[in-house]
Amino acid sequence: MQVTSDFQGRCREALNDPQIRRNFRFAMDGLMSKRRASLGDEDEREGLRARCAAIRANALARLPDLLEQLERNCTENGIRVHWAETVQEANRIVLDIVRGHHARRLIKGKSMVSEEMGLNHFLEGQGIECLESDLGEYIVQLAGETPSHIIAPAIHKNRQEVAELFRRKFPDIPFQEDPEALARSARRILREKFEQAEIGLSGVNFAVAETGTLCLVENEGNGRMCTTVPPVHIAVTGIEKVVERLGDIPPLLDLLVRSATGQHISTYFNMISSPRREGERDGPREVHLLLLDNGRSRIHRDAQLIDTLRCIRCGACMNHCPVYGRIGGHAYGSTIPGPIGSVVEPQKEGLARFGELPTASTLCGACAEVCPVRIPR
Amino acid sequence: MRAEVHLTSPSQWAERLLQLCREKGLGNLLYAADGPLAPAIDAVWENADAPPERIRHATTIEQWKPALFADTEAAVTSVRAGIADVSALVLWPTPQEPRSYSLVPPVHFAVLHAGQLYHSFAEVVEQEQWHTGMPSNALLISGPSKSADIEQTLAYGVHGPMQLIVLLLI
Repeated sequence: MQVTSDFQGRCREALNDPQIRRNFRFAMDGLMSKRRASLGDEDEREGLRARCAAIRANALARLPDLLEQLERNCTENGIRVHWAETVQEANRIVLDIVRGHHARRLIKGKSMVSEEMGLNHFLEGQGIECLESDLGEYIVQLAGETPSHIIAPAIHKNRQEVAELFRRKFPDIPFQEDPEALARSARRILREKFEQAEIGLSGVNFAVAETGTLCLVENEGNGRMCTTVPPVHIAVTGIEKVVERLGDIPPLLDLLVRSATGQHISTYFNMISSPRREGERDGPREVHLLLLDNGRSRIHRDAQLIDTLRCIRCGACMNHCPVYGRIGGHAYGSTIPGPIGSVVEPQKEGLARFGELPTASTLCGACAEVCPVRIPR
Repeated sequence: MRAEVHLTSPSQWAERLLQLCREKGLGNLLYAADGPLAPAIDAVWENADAPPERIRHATTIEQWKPALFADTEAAVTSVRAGIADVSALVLWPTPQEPRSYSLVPPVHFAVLHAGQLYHSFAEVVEQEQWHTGMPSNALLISGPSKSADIEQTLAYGVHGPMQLIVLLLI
């Protein structure tokens, strides 16, 4: 009997596309070697991994308490906290905020949870424009695609493909293939959008219960733009992103960045604890924090699966996965691809849709070896 | 990380700042007229021959956003602390030196006293007892804006400043 599912079909298609194979191989080799260079000292690396795994495990063990504490401290700081059990509820909450301000357009920093919500599609159906501002996300949006990697969304395209896309979308801009020239074009186009945006939306890397602080890691500055310039900032995140103490942040930031890109530190680390305060001359006047469940509390109740919620979304598991490196992110068909996506997505979206994803494994264990928070333990 | 670092002294940094503005051909410089750097900047600028225009705004961003985005070539801010092990600056924007100063203009000058250096981020958070009261926005900044979203190739000056210039006062 021959059964060809959508997933198998997509895998076959990706494997037969030499451009996809080349683009991913090139990118994954680069990301792996950068991580290796940055985390070369085994004692230091393993010490840091043990520490970060413990921080995340502790946060999950106390999740209900920490979420209440986060809500209390954010509220005290002037951040408005919203809870959503489903993506439908989450989308509705964002829409209500946008409508409350009579806004027609939203400018976005990188947020995988907004991808999980299908927020762009939903808001556009309501006549509200969502503009991605992270360079990779912007490219993907221009192409009408979805991200193929959680930290490098346009990794499936090479410079020629991006240049061709820009030529098609912006015929007035002279053709250029140099990544920096392409980035500068995006800068010019988006600068005006930041200036005029009525609402900025971002994700959250870590939410600190102790102080009610939202932490964002980025290199481009678009995340800072979205959370600094517009009068309203909406941060969307999953309930598992909370950590207990501010002192938990330095090791997590350190290991996240080194695991993800091999940098010592990102260009920007942005810690937001309140809207603009009395006397301050900029910053949003309103900050909203939207906490999404969408199956996470069910995962949290499962003794086997709870550890998957430790994930800090560095992407190292996909960078090192022999399957991901060959089929790329789109073949998975899920918001989060790669090893962690293969475990989490069937739980969140159901076995009917993503039940096959766990078969995208060679059982080599590379993902577990590189995971900064030791999933699976 | 492609930040420029210039060693200078507490008495001469503003001269150095003026010289750097000239070398870079900057037409204007945003700074906080009521901030900690103003006395030194004003003293140097007022005695200089045709220095870059000083931009001062004691108003909210809403009142001058178009000029901030379109016409402001550079900004200078103070820095709360430096982190040695990863080479990062700690900024806690204040009413006088708002967060957009280190973000929107294409060139950011940051003035850091060597005495404010810490070994690590963990050390700053711990010693300064950040958990007892966070500002509306705290920032670590380690270089000019950059992206590797196209072919993992570093491209500088994507959305934030294209140049970060640190004046380290010893």
